[in-house]
Amino acid sequence: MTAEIRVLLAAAALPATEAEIATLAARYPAFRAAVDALHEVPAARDLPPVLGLRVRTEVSGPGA
Amino acid sequence: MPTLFTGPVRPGPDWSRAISTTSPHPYTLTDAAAALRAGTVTSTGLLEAAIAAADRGDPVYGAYLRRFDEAARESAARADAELAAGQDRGPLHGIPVGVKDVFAAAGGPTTAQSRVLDRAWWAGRDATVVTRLVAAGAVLTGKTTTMEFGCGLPEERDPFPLPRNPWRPDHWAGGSSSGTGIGVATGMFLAGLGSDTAGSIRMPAAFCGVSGLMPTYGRVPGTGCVPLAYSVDRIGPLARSARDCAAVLGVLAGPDPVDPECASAPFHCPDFDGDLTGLRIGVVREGHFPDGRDPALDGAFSAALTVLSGLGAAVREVVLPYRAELTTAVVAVITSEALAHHRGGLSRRWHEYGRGFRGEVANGAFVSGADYVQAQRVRRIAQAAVDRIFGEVDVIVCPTASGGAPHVDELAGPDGVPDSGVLFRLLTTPYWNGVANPVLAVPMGFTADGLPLSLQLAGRPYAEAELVRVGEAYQRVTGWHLRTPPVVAEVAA
Repeated sequence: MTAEIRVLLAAAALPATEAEIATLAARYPAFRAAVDALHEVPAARDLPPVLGLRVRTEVSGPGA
Repeated sequence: MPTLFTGPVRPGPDWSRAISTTSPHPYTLTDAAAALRAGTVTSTGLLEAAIAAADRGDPVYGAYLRRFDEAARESAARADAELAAGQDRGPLHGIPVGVKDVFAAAGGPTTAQSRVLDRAWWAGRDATVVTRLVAAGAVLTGKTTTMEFGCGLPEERDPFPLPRNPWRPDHWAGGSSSGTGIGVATGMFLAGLGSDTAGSIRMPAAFCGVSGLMPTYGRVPGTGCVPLAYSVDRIGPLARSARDCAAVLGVLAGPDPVDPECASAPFHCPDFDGDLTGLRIGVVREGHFPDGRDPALDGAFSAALTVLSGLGAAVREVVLPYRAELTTAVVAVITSEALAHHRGGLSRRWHEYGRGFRGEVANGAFVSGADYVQAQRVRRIAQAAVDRIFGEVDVIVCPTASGGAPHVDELAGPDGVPDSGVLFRLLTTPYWNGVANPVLAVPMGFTADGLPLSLQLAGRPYAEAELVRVGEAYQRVTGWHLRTPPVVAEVAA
């Protein structure tokens, strides 16, 4: 795992220390698994991404 | 003289020595505004009390990076003269206000609590939100502490103050709007600006025992604010009460031609009578009461629900959709966008960034382009699912955190490196950064150790007034928001 972390950090040109690499490598499996799970959300299959949230301004109730 | 803390690492405070602060009276912005107009207090008087509180408390609590004492005195005198002449700029006129040091202010350089940020960035200019505060007659008291660029965790070894909790200085104040939370809690100002990307308004509000409002995404312009994550960042107030937060948001909100993300949605909050009859409240428990939570949390939350029910609200249980997925998406998006902003700097000046910041943002290197796009798609799915819940309830409530502020020693792992794990175990705030909804955090009682607990109120996009209605009604009954740390009470007595 540490080797994979070194490759990814080097690709991003991030000169992390050995201690930091060890910490990041220890946390990486759980993070990777959680990110991988995002690709298994069925409702996302045909949905375009939102790269900046746009919400409607219509509102009812107090302050409208 | 304004001071910018750039010196060597300071020794830890000596807790055996009594530390005292004073607090401006009256306590809330709203009460102070009324007193100013009644002529029972002056802006200068409020400011001098705030300065006295800062003189005594700031060396311990670490609220400020730079103070604007002399400029503030001029502003306060001007406000007093204008009010005496019948020129009223609104509820912030003459009110001492602190500004998190990620917002540009003409009174001094912006640091984002980093050695890296170019001190010439926006020098001599005001962020749009600061311009609006000044135009509203607010008295800017200074620039407050943060986490580096709003991310990571502080360390004693960093050349900046370590923000300490006003209720127990051996505990952290929360962040990243740390100094703003401290300042409100200890009377160094009556309201302040914060920004929130994963909880950075609500966390210090919760840990310091004050109120904090994260507005709807796009409600407040970000022009002149140091970014952390473009599609997530929000700007909003911390103050003692929900009504105080509404007063500040009314000044901050509204379109900004320079910020394309900012909506044309000014904020006006009507008066409320405290009656919540007809209001439908959804209660979230799943994932918010983990093993190891503070023993006082369950009782405090139940008591809050009892209060809301007693005010006429109909309460029912709801489950937050995509809770785990949305929280992951928020982390993936934040680290990716932050790395996009800082990659060049991190590559060239790695060791000038704090270990807390670079340890978090480096995770962006592990998020592929496809991961980032998928995370944004999940945000959209979750927004639609949350919208459906808000078809059945008007407000969603849950704890802001499962306990009080962590001890400062808990901010680092066994190797001494900052470890955000403690925060992810405590906080429930990041979920709401993945969607656009506004969230208000209000004090909800205390742990057995005397640290504040907090209640989150989430609403529909642009329905901040509904949150203020509920928060204000709750605060009329409970009064938790009026509690001040023991050090304040000692001096007031």
